Amino acid sequence: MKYVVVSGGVISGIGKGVLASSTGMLMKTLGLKVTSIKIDPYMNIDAGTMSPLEHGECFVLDDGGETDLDLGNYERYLGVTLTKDHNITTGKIYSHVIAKERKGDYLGKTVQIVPHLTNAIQDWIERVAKIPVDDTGMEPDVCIIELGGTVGDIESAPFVEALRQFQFKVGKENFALIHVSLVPVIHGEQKTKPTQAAIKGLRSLGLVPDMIACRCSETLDKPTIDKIAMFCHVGPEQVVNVHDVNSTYHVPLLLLEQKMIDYLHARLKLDEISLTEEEKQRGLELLSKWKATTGNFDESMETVKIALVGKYTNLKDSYLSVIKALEHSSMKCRRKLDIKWVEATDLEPEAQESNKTKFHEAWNMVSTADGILIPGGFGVRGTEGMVLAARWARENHIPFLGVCLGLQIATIEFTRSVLGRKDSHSAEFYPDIDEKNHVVVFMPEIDKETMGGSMRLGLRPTFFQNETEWSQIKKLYGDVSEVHERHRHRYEINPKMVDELENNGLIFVGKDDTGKRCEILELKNHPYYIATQYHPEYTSKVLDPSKPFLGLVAASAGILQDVIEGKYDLEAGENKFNF
Amino acid sequence: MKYVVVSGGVISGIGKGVLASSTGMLLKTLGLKVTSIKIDPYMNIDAGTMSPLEHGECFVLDDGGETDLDLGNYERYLGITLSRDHNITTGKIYSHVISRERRGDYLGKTVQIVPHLTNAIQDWIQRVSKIPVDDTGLEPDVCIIELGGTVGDIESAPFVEALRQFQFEVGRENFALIHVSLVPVIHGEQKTKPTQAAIKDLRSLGLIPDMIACRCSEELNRSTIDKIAMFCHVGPEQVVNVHDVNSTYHVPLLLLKQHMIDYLHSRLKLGEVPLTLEDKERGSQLLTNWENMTKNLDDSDDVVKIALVGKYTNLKDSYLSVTKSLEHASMKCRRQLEILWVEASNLEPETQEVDKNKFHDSWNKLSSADGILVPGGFGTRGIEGMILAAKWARESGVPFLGVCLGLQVAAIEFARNVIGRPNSSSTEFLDETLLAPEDQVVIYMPEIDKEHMGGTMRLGLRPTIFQPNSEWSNIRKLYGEVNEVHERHRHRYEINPKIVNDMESRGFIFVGKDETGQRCEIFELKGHPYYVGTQYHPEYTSKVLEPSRPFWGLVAAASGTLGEVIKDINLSEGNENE
Repeated sequence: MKYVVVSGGVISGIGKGVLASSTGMLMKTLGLKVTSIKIDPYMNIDAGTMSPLEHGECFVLDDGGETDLDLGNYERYLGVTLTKDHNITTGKIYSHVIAKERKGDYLGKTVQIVPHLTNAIQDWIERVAKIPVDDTGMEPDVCIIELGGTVGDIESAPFVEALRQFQFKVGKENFALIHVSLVPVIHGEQKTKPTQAAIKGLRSLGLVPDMIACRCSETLDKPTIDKIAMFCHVGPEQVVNVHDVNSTYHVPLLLLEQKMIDYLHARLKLDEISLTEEEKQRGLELLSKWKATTGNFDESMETVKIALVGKYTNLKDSYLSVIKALEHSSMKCRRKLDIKWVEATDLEPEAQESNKTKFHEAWNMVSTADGILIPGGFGVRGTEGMVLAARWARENHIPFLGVCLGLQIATIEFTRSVLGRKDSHSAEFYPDIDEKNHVVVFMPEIDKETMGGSMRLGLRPTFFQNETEWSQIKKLYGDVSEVHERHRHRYEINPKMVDELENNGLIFVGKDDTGKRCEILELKNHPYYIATQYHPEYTSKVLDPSKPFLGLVAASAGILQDVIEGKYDLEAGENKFNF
Repeated sequence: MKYVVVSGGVISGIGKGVLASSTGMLLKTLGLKVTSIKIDPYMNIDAGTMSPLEHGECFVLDDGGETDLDLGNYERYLGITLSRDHNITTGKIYSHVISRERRGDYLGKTVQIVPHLTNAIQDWIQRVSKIPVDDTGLEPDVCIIELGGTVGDIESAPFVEALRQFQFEVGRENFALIHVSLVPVIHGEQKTKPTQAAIKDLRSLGLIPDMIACRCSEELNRSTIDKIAMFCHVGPEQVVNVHDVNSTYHVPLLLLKQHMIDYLHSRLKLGEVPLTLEDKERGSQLLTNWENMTKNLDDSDDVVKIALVGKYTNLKDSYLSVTKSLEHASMKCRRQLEILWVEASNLEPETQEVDKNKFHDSWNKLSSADGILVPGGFGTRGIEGMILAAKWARESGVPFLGVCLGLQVAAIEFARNVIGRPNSSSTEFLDETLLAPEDQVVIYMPEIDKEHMGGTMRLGLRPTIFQPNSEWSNIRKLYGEVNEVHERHRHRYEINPKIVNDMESRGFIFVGKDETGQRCEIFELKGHPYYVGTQYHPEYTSKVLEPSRPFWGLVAAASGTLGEVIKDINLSEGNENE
């Protein structure tokens, strides 16, 4: 097993996750099997109780784990499926050690950070690194470990010390460290002092970087690289220039261009890993596909405008997987994506009174969008605006996708406007209204008392119902009878309403294995009006977009049928198209 | 509330606890009410699952809390009663925050060490420091906080940061920091560089010491003090010289002599704390008593030799409260204490084969001792040696005290050799299936979960009722002829109620039992100068100026003064009753 640790300094939020994912992806192009672990030095057990406004998206895994958004990045770039154990938090590892102490496993010992906690961290890493995460079902060859936070903080100190010990445990040739550092440009001058201080701090903690990835808004000058190399005690070939590029999808190619993989190849003796021809071939194909797909990003001439009607629109990281799914889809459709961020409350009549400018601006974005998306969320704020957006899409035949809360919104809107029940709403928001107006209810498998880890989470099956051959979403899924997608919700469609809704054309084409929980709705006689209770964005991949999102973008671009027929698949005609 | 934080650097184990206790005791002599908190940066929830060989004694509190031995030092020096919350460990505070996170208390927030954990630490300190801990029942005036470990370690980083913030939270005039540092003497030269580096580290973490207590084997030279003052950015009056002294009981007086309290008095504006005349008088009396006690210590010429037959004798910190109790008692009896450390297994016949020297050396110590003590412990190793020691004491008329396991050992010995059941033992050492019912002298009883370690023992303060017709009992007289005493427990096994009648009919009397009359708490052998055993741990409540009665009795009997001590106790109790 080879380990590549990615750490960060100077400031946080400078792109460690993208660097880690890109490194892993490049290693996959060599034919290696890659896994990844994220270390988050916060005391929450997982990300489930953290507000999106505070920490960005809560990413849900197959096993229901609620993790940091970086695990989403790893899954999307590397095409892997991770477990909740691939996310180590301070809270999780401390709980683990404290529970062992209570059980008596450390009987007689004073349990300390060094060595007990640091040993537990190392054991955890070694155990989890071996878990198969791709479709080969085999143990990975390389494990990328991203160390969250900033090196030198109290928060990450136990993990830094654990990794310092780990490099000796697994051996020098099996451990490499990439440190991501910021090189700010001040008055046109590229400043290296922050990086020097960061590397010095790293060295004092016992870690010596093998590569220094410099995040900079522009290309580094040769003297800057040489200066960093000299003052940070590395060779110039160990300084990687990660300047701003059009999109994060270009970073792997940028790193490739700078021969990062050549260095790691020698450093980690990757030659010694035996690979079959098939594995190498798969790696090369991955690289080709990546180039072809992300190349679209630049070549695209036409734009597709998607209005995202949400409630955390000022913090876009809250919707990271949604954005990525849209990006993956637009790349596939050879369209430049233009997301119109609409704060749902701004669509509401009250906004017309209190902030006319925002009101009209929001409605302008909705009415000029090629497609409309209502993503997941919690709480009643903004739901009326979402209902209005759904109505606009339904009545004007604008392609629409509702996810989780979005599905519930679409159903509430339909019930009010088509079935004529004006007071329809969700029991989550208005528990006291007449029960016959409960379009959305809470159902068993929920404990209302305890937060954290009590939602319906993770991979669950959805079955397409009889006589749904007409369904666009079913066709997009390849006319299969069953799909598996990730969930994160407490409330769902009231089964008592289903018959009436379906009689009027709102068909629940997908349900759970009991036939009770409504998973997918589709409106007949509309170009694309679809909603899912599950979160299809969680399994979208760079080279294999989420089908519901792909459908939305394709319909918005006017090419839905072509996409369904596979005309936009890369394999179809050797990258050649005739229109 | 005034807070005095005691931190340490350079190395660990240089006497922070003694310094903290001594500071607190001196503040008490001003009439102030003092409490203390120990911060232990280890991940155990408490000290209960830690081997004495690894970490020294596990000290048990009234509420059953199993804590670090330093809490014992605080209770003994300051005459206070602490709760388990006065011991903050990394494991405890992290569990506290993590369980709040699971409950949703931090809903929406990324829970981090700064500020969530550090806030929890500060809140904990402020809440606990208000808890009354002495017989006034009033909120304390001063809280001593001892920060365990070494400043600069990963382990203590969250606590250091919490305290850095805390000094602003409570205000400068309510927070003082004493840093204990080692000044090694190398080739006769007093070296200050380690202290300079330690203080520099402390400053970089945002804490500035108000006093630097220098631990040194000898008195510091004037030039050394000036050098430390200059390089560490403090005045010379802020450098305290804590050189080696005859005993730790002398440290408060050493600090007093160096005007430490004068400095703290002005630094913390202690003049502003309202005190009654009674408060001040009590403080003065404490100082007088302490001075007299240490004078007794210095003046003692006679020696009393106590053989301590244990199983962790190479790590004496495992028996800290026991040794302190013996010290308190010997000071009271005006005797120089000499503890003869006997490893129990060395008394066993097998040792005569494998190590003749150790065998004879151990038996020599045992047979020349004035008194014999078998303290608490766990596990089967050394039991047979302890039984032989008890037999020796019983047959030779040598004063004996058995504590916890020691009581059980004495009972097993009596059952084997006096009642005539040679296979008698404890079900802790031999499974019930291997031991005939009539040979089960010690058994486990309800209130125990055999599956889980940690926190499942019978712990803390429990009452013991003296039985009818026990007026003859020496131990009862030592307790002042009371009907009931409250002592701290830490055990899983106890005397089998079914054999009590047999034992008592032969003179092995259980003079103290629990409220149900089922659990045997105290035994005493009739017709012996002093042969006593307790299931509870009397050493946990011994105080410098008020020794534990069972230990006092042992030392007094070993010194040949038991009768006088009992007479004095009667007089003093009688005076109080009048």
